[in-house]
Amino acid sequence: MTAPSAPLGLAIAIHLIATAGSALAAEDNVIIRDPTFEQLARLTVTSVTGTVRPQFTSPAAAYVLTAEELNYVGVRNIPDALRYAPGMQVSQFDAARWSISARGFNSIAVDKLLVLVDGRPVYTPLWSGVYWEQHAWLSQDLDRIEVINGPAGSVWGANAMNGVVNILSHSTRDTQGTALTLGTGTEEKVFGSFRYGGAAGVNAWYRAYVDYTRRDDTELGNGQSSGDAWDMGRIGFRYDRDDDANRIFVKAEAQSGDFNQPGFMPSPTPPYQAPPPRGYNRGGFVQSSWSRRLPAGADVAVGAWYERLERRLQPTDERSDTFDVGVRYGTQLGGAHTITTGALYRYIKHETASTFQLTFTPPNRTLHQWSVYVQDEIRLEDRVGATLGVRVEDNPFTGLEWQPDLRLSWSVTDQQLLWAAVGRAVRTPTFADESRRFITEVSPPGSFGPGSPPVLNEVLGDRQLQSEDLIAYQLGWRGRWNNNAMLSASVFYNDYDRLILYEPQPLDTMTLAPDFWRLAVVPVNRGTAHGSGAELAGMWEPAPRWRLFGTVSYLDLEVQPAELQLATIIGGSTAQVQASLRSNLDLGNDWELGVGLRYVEDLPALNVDSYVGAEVRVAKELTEGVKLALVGQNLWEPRHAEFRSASFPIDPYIERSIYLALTWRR
Amino acid sequence: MRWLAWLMFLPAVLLTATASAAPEYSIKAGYILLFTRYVEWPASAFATPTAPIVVCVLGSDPFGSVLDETLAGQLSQKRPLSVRRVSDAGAAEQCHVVFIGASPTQPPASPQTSQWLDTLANHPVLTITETPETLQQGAMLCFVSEVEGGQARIRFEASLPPMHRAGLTASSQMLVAARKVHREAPGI
Repeated sequence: MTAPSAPLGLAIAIHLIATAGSALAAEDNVIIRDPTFEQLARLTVTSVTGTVRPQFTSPAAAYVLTAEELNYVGVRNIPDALRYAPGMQVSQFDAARWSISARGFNSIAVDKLLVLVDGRPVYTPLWSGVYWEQHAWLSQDLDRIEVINGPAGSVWGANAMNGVVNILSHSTRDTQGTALTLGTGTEEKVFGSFRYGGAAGVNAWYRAYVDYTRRDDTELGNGQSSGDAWDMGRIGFRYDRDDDANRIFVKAEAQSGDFNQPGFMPSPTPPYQAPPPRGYNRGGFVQSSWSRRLPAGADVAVGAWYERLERRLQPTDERSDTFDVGVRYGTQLGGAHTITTGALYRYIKHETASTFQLTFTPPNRTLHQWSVYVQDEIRLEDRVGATLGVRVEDNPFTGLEWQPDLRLSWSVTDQQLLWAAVGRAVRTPTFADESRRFITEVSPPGSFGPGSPPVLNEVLGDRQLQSEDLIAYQLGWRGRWNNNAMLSASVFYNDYDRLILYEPQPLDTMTLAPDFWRLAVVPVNRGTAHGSGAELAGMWEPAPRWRLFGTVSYLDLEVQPAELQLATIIGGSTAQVQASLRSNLDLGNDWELGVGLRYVEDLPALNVDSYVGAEVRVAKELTEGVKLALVGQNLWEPRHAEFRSASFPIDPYIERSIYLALTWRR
Repeated sequence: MRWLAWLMFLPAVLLTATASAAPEYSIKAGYILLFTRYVEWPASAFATPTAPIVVCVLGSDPFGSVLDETLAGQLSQKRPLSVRRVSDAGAAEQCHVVFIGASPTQPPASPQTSQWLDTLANHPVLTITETPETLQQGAMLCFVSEVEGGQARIRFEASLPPMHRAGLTASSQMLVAARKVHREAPGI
């Protein structure tokens, strides 16, 4: 099967949340009429049509976007894909930066979402956010993106607080042969990818791939170019072996990207600001796992990965080495219990280059982190199940953290499922929370009265911080009809405590005198928040060649205490209502038509208006294996803004765009 | 933008199957149709002589609507065919054919699969899986893919002991098409 040979953590979460269940809508419903055994044995397999859906019986707010259906509306990057997932909020800030959050806390530095690529977590240890520019472009061999809203800390550990995004590529078994894509457009000036996949003996396959994208500038409010164009290239290799008892997975990839950086950075001398240097993101990783099936349904797996990253992108300049190793064991006890248990160890060596704008004390850190987890899936009765999980994690910032989780599911009928969950998740403090000194702006002399020196506006760190804490209560329902319609609804109540907010300090005229005065804010665990909301996702296949996908999300997030400015900003940066609709229509004669529409409500704290995004893709298969696609994106209006932040004082707009892509497969 | 709405409501058109290649689950659905024609169930497995052969997908469903469309309107041994999706083995006891998929996201031989097979053992239920080692855990038929020169073909293997225990008989025409027939309990 298309197993993304789940490196450790992955396999577990998937146990919890997502295996195929309802499988609406296969890709090409090729029906073989009047088969014979001889004929079937001769047929070669073109593709795996099985469209993986969140397991119908999974007790979580899970949603799956398959590569095939994303391609249908011309989506080229992960942020654009996530705009169509319920509960996710995507705000593009400039050409290379996105804020992507689940169930609230949209900000310039989203730190409560865990993202995994083929099972490897890709958040930065610096501040536990995701460097989206590095992972943005969809791989030609993407299989699907799984989105799980709500905490999954018992499975994934700290930082899987508000949601998990699993990006999974196809097994190399399913990517045999050559695939080439070339394209050009008004925003994505040039892009291309090439892949070759072959067999490596019996039950073993590989692929090698490269891709490249050059992205144009966004536009400023005054119509001028923002100066944030960038390009990124990737080269990689993957190997899968899958025999009767063993599964081996090896993946290696390297990336190199160069960035024009918009705006300016603070500087100690007049005019107290300077253009940022060119940015870059270079690095690579190797990843491997091996799992073995044991008798009586048990299995054991080990996996490890190493990643090197060198990155200079506003405001950080950093190098890091991360090494991660884990083991997992799964077994069955007494028929009713399925136990999964495992342990993980992670080593991070992180170095930063100090600039006037941003320093860390000390600049270089080494971090050891381990965790153990156990999960029991219990079959209470034929139609009732429970999942109990707990994870204990030791981190150098706050010591031991417990993250328990309880889930219940009840199959009311074969067509309907009710589930409920309650769990605790934490976000542990990071290097940045502990030790940063970030100068956001230098107020020129005289700003604070006649004769005042320049004033540094600073965000500082604090070593006494505790973990941010969430207890989440969720309830969900899923129903399906005739295998061509499915509806899923979830409601949740999130109770946050000890949120990190920033407390302004009085003007400090002593410490840095006589050169500067200082106006600082320091992090404090003083925030509390209540988030309540609902997500609705539906799929309907009105005709065999036509699929509709719709989502509606509602979220009410209130952060206290109101006297801390950030509390109000967080609340007012969260879209209360979002909705989306996609239509994938096969017109026949090798023509395809995809239409996507989405609505995001206004963000009062960011001065962003509500907007509608629209995508249209028309594609035609010219000859077998050659497809030409014309895609329009953000068609609704000439341009719109999605995010404004005081931390990056430029004002970029996302423009209407089109691109043309030619794909060749054989 | 009103034209968008109109475009979305254009009627859909069916494509025909290609001859030499087909998607994996279209082929597997074809096999399942044939299995219902070449496996004999005890009469007691049916309430009436014209009761349908019930084909069930247990757990994850990789077929989408392909299986339904393949079996729609077909007769096997003068019986109509019906497709059901069930989430636990208890409900699957009422089926005549049970397909247990190797979901892309679960361990290939998940503990759940062997538990399901145990529950279904000795019932007149033809069990079909996708991972060969389940043949040692009581699965009767198993799809395997044969890879040759970068191209995959779908075959199946059959295990006779569990079929005998369940009172099922596979015809010899079907068994010659199998890549391998396990006549004794395979393995140790």
